[in-house]
Amino acid sequence: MSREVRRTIPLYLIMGLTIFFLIEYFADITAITGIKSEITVWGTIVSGFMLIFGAVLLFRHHFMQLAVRNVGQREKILSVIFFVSFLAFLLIGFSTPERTSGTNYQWIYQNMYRPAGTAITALCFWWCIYGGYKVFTIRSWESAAIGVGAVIYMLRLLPIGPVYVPALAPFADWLLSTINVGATRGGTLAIGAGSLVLGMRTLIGKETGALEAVQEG
Amino acid sequence: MRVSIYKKLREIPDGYLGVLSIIFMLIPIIYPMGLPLQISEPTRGFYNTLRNLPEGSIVCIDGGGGFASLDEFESSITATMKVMLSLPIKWFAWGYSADGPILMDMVLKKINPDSFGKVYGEDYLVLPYIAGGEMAVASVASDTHNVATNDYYGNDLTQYPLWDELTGAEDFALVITISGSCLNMDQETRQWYTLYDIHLLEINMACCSPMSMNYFPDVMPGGLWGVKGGTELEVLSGFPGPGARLSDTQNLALMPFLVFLILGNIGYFGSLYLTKEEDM
Repeated sequence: MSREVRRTIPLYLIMGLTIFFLIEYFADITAITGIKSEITVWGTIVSGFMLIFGAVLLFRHHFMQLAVRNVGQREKILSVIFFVSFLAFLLIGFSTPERTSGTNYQWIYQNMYRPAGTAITALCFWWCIYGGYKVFTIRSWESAAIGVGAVIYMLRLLPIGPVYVPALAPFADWLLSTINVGATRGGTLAIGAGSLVLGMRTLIGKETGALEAVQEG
Repeated sequence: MRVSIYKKLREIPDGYLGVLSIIFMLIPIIYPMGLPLQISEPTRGFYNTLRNLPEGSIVCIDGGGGFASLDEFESSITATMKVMLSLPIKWFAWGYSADGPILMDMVLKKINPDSFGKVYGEDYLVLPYIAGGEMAVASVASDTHNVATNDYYGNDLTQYPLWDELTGAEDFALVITISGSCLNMDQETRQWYTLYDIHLLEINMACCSPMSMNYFPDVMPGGLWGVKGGTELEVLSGFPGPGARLSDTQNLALMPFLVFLILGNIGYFGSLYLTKEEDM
């Protein structure tokens, strides 16, 4: 199949679906709403299959790392860890009729998966502390606004802040609900305008970003 | 040539930063502080919205979030479940993320809904993970019966009386969205409020509150963000939970961040404006 065909068919599909969803939103026709609901449910079914597809790709990648590709010892060990943990979760999940609600599965979730995830999150937190110290220096009015706002809001997040400085809570809440909302709504409007442009480009068949990745250079 | 104090402040070794941070986090575990809390408006709104739901209302819970950040919103979910089980309302949760239903099941096992006199299938239901992200939200809203045939435990949904009452967004009085994404309220608003005029309550991580505040109070009359939100709801509702202990830990865990942020800037400005050339 030529690249042109591989591009054109999905492009027309996206265009058609966009026009259909637009009509459904503005015209209150029961039959169209029914079809739209059906298409949306198809979407969730396709997404479910994509999970299986993703798992197959992951398996293929790590199998290639172990058996075919000429990679280092470290990469091979990581692939072995993947296979062991993937298969362990799978086997434990299917070992009882309760599946993921079973005691065994929830035990590994609670005692292995959760601590591992929490450790990664804690590591991110450590990098926040390190980054705040090393990099976050106030070099301009803009960074001063961010820095001062962050310090005030963090003190508000800590129960200890408002206890010792009672005025902090109303001031930080005002910053969050007024200054912050004004700024983020500007960002949201910009995203909305961008989405509108993307939608218009999709409608006229100019938007190919979702169809193919172009390798630069 | 001597090194100025400001330059030293800029060059504290990484190890000291780590050790100090760990010490700060350990203090509240050894000596719980139990500081009083000021209830914020979003938490008050969250609680009041639930309390003011008419009897028999159905609440849909978009159960997202993951185990990696569970410590951030475990107290919020637990307190919310307790409040909802204590009210004459019905609810169902579905898995917006793969971890969502597992998390919901674990919380329910801990708090035991039977002790609140609630019956599974009549007063509440837990649906499985439904893949598709925002598309799954749209599917649940437009045609709930089409998205699942079995509940999270693998049982046929048609045997439950509550399932007959869930056909789509028109049946729901409120949506509670649990997520670990700061863009969560954008997509939830698109699918629930814009299309069906249904209000949302959010449970999310503390760092996401600035983004979610965009929607407070018109679209989202209340929200619980981070441990603080959960602890506030525990205090407000009178249902104690894990929030108080976690709140103490968070109290001092954020302290090193603030201290080092300030020290780093004192060092920066000091070495820029207050240091003599021979001290550099």
